[in-house]
Amino acid sequence: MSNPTSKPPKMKRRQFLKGALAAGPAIGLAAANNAAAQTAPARASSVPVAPPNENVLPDGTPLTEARSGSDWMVDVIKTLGIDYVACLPASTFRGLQESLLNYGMNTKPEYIMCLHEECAVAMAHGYAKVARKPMAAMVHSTVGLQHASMAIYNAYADRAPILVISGNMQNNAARRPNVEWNHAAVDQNATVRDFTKWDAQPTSLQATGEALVQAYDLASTAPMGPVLVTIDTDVQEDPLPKEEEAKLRIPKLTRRSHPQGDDESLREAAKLLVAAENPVIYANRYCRTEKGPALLVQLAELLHAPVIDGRARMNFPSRHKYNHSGRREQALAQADLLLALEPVELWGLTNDVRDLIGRPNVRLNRQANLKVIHIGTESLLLKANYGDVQRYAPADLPIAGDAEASMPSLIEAVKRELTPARAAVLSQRGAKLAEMAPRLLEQARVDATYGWDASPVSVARTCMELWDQLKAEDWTMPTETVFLSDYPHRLWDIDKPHNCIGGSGAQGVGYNAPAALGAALANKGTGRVTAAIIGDGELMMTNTMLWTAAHHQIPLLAIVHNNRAYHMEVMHTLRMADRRSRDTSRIHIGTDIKNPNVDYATLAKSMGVYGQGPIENPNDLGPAIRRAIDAVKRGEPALIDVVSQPR
Amino acid sequence: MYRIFAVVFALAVGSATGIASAQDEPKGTPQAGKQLFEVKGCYSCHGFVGQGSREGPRLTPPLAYSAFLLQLRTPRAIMPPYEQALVSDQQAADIHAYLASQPKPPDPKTVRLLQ
Repeated sequence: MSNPTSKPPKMKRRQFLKGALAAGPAIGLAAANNAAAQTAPARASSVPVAPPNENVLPDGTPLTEARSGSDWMVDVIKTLGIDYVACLPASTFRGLQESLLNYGMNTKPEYIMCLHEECAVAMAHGYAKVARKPMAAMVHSTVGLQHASMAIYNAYADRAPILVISGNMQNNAARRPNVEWNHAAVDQNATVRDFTKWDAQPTSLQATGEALVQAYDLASTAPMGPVLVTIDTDVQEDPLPKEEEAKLRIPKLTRRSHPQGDDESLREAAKLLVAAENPVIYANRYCRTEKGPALLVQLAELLHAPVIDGRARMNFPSRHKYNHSGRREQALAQADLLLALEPVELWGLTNDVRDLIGRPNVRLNRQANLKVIHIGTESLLLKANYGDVQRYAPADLPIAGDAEASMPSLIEAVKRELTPARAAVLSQRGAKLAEMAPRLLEQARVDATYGWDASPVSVARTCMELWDQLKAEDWTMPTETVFLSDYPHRLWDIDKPHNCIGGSGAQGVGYNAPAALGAALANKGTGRVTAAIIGDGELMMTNTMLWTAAHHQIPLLAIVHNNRAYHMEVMHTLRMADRRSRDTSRIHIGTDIKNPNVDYATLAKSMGVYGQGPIENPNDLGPAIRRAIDAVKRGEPALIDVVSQPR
Repeated sequence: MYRIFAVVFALAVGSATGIASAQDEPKGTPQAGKQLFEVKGCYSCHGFVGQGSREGPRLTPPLAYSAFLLQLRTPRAIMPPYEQALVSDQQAADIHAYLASQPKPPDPKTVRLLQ
């Protein structure tokens, strides 16, 4: 055991290196001589001298720096008002990471540690749709960006604003051998350029500051989307002398207005809407702000027209008398005018491709004289490679502009067109429509009773057990409801834009769990309860978000809709087997998540999250949700595993 | 995409000329039908107890056997067909018996969570 009182005096690093340099050749020579003496006869020739230690620094090389480029980058980022940055640690942005933590003191933005880049970006995706502003996601060069790419694609297809920051060492001569070459690229942004709104790879500090502000500006302006700024590693790490910093300027972030439809076209739209006998309003990615639904209610009540909510956002109150989403096809079949607001996919409102042999194209049951008005930004952000563009469908009156931004002008134009006599006629139409809405709710209640006490638990039962405990709260249910047979939209009273935020955009599996966590992060401290119903296959893709939830104490209730399969693929494989009259018992190979069954409660507990389940008896579900919401209200995440019906 | 298994059980199907008359209708057993309902994949769109979903309509109480069989063999809309080689008439009868054996659901007015 060493004597603590007899330690040698500490040696400074430079002194140690100098000592090693002097001693190195001698030690090497002695060792080599010793080895040679044991393995070969002595020779007169000299043993080769080991080369000088290449780690030795040239004289004058600075070892410390008072201020670096990445400190100034933090100054820039702080002007953007970003609250959080989600990321894994990575060497290509180590300079910026250290600056955020120490120089920026880990506030605005606060560092949210994720364990997979896909989780980091998906968190930012869900956050943006609740907070109504971007947060940042920071990902490693090349490999980290590749991990993040699917989540970026989802965000692009969903037009969600995210500031993605990556690193890259562009100076070849500065890269250390091996890994730093693998983790560098000539044009790494090309990996995701097909599905970002904009990207930049600045090579100076001033250009980096400008790129960060410009990226935030562009991401936040409709049509919104993820943007990527790759920051050079050297620019982050190089010292920043005062005289150089004095030359730098941070551009001012100003809020750009959103593109609006032109007045003449909106006046024409108003004329058509007022004159139509059976207009139908379809809104999909329409709602962009808290004001969106109220504006749409105003328009629907002026026109006494039914509204179909496509649910890419919460566009229209679920229990409004003119919400006719539950009779979508019937309403569209009667329509002589369709007003499509950010429909995302217009062709499918009047046509379909049947999933039959030969994939026949069919015209849906629509009136021959149906006219279509399209207000949206779809045509303002297009890339050629991926199919996000959707099938071409020319409208009778296409209006390029953000639908929500255009709504006040459209409402005013409708008011000008409406005569008292016409308003009275439309009001009569409204009375008939208003009679239908309660019947839709009653039908949904009847439907929910079938399988009510079944095990596995029905999705209707799960949804209503959750609703029973959400309805007295301000709440967000941030995940897709399509796999829940839409019961939340059919049975819940959804009246605020943050109640539901739509889905992933591109249906890239893995979105729902981390996006829900991002939504919960946006709600943290607001008193809102965030409760998500997440598919088991979804959760298995990105379950490390549970650790992030526990580590940062983000209050999210995650209910696992555990149907023990990638069930969409069960149905796809079944369709093929049926079509070919082959064995349907084998369709579960490669689609089921069984044998072993995953114990999600234990998975949650292993990462520090309060876990319950598996719940197979529906009568156990209500008490479990109560306990979980108690935990969430204490500021903790919680998970309930519910063994569920497929849909 | 999500409607790939949607099926329209039009009432007209029920009144169509049956492809099996009541006399030659095989007698099914609910227990066998329960197993077949899963093995043949019916549950995947219609739920384990035939309660229906976004992917496929409710099957309880079932249509008359003849209409049920007609839909199975020559489905309307985009439900995939189940030919004799995949589901025999006897197996279809078993499935039909299973669906018919499902208990009547509660009146929604009596379910507190549905008020």
